Amino acid sequence: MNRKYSNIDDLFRDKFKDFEFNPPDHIWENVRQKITGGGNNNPGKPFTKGGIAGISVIIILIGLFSLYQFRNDANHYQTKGLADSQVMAYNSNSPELVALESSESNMISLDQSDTKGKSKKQEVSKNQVSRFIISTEKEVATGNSLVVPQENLEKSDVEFDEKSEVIPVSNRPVIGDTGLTENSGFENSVGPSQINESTSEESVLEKFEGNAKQTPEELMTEPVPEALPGVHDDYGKPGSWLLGLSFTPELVNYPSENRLNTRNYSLDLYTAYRFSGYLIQTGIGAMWSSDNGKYKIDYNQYLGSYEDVYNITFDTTGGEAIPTYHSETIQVYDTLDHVAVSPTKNKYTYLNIPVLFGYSNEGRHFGWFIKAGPSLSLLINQNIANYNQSLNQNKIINVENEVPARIKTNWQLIMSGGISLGLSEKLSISLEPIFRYYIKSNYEQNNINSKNPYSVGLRAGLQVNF
Amino acid sequence: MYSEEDLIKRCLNSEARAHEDFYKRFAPKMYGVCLRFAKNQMEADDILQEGFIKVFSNLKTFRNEGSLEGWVRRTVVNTAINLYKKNVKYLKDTGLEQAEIIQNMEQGSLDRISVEELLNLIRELPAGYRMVFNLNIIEGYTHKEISELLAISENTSKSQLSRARQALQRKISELNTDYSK
Repeated sequence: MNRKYSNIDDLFRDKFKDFEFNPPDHIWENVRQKITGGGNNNPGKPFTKGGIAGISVIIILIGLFSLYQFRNDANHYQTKGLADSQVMAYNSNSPELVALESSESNMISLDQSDTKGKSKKQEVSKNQVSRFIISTEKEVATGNSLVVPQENLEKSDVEFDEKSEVIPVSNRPVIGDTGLTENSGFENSVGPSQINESTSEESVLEKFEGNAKQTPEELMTEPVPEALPGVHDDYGKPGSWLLGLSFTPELVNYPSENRLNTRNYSLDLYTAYRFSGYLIQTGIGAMWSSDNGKYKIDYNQYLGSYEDVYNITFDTTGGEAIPTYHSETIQVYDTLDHVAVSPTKNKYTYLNIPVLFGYSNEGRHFGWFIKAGPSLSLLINQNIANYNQSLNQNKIINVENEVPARIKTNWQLIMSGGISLGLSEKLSISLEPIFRYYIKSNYEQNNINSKNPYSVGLRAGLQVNF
Repeated sequence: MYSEEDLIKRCLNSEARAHEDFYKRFAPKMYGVCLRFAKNQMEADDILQEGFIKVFSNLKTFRNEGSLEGWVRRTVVNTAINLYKKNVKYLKDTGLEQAEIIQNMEQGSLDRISVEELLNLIRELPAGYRMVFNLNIIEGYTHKEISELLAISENTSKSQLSRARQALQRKISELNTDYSK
């Protein structure tokens, strides 16, 4: 039968009215795997396995680092004590020799000024000699040491005053020509050198000579000498801690999903441990984020209502038939389907736990730093706004939130570098551009193909240095 | 055969074959929808797959107030729209033109055009034309609704539809010419 088509609209509507086509089998297989395999949708659990694993990794890292630091500190003090005691042993066994001792941070120091941790026996001898150790046992054995025999010192005019702890004189000990022999009684002196072996003897000598020519007053007021070549100027110093609070606005970019681009704001409480120029930083922070999205609402429009009489009964008890109408209110809706788009804003709160490693160069008033590391984000709260309630009088057929749900756990890599400015001895502020690379998308839906969003931000911090 | 209500209950109870029964019941019709919206079969496969994943994920939100098939169809159409918006950054706002009226064409020859041929004609349309034509002519969305769904102006929606009609009219005339020979 021929049909009349007044325009092509009718032609297509009619032809496609009951159009069906069997899909390939593999589609059902894919759908089945997705819905039975679970996918990555698990909105009920606040912490996923990934989150637990992430926290575990961070705790282990911090633990290992703390253990490493603790052992280093313990070794440091043990070594120092061992060196002191061995110097003492050497002095007692071979009174004809004394050792030149160098402190860790000051190339030249005299043990008379540092009696902490030393025995009374050593304190007793404070008016006798000045002792320096700047050589290893190997250097001593090979003659490349600064250890000198007692007799050489006795020839010198080195004197010590009870009041002034240091009285250097021009006739300093002879260095290099120590006269030390293999049976000098120094075999047991295995005191480890506090000085890098690459230190040139000449530079040591120059420093020593320079100091030896100074008056006691000059020496006492002289600032701490610079570090030796190859030795960091804070070598051996215990690390320092800082505690900070920072605020960071960030712009998150989804390379191929511009509609998802958003802004994050985070407030972080962090602590950092700085040692030998390096730093390790961790902390805890809250990050607020939001999505601008929309609901698509399919509905049939409400047109009105009427009272439908579904039954009539008559009361004849009074000899007169009185009808009673039983009715119900029937709401009338348009039979045409409508769709409405309702804008919405979903808000999310994350708990952030970063672990950053880096390098810092802190001056008295000004410093700079760079750092990088992983950060774990846990979604701890979300406020999913509802659609426009004015549509509720209509018959809602379907509501679809266009904004995909966010995943609960996410890992990021953070890189940042910045400057710090000292406000006082302990207080400083920092300004730090930050780059954050997301290991995977924040969103659950598989059709979000922007797997690796990134963000840039500017962190401003206030920190207390301990 | 289970009623729609029972089918939904079984799916929500994760009964073994329930999802497959559901899929088999609606997939052929939905695949027809997908083929109209997609530029090729591979894209239609993707829309159908993503659409049914969304259907099963959101089945608990179905309110039993309209037909289940209509709900599934909207979900599939929305999936097609999302895919389109992901692939097309913007639509040019072209001039508004009048809808084409079929004139001087033998009605008999129109009947001879198969649905597969019409499907191919739709597929040959540019993505924007195809989307607006499908949404407006076949699915029944108004231009206002289309403008909100696709984030374009109403005029753009109308002009896209007009151009789609023009293109289809031309192709249909060519087909008719072939039949005449």
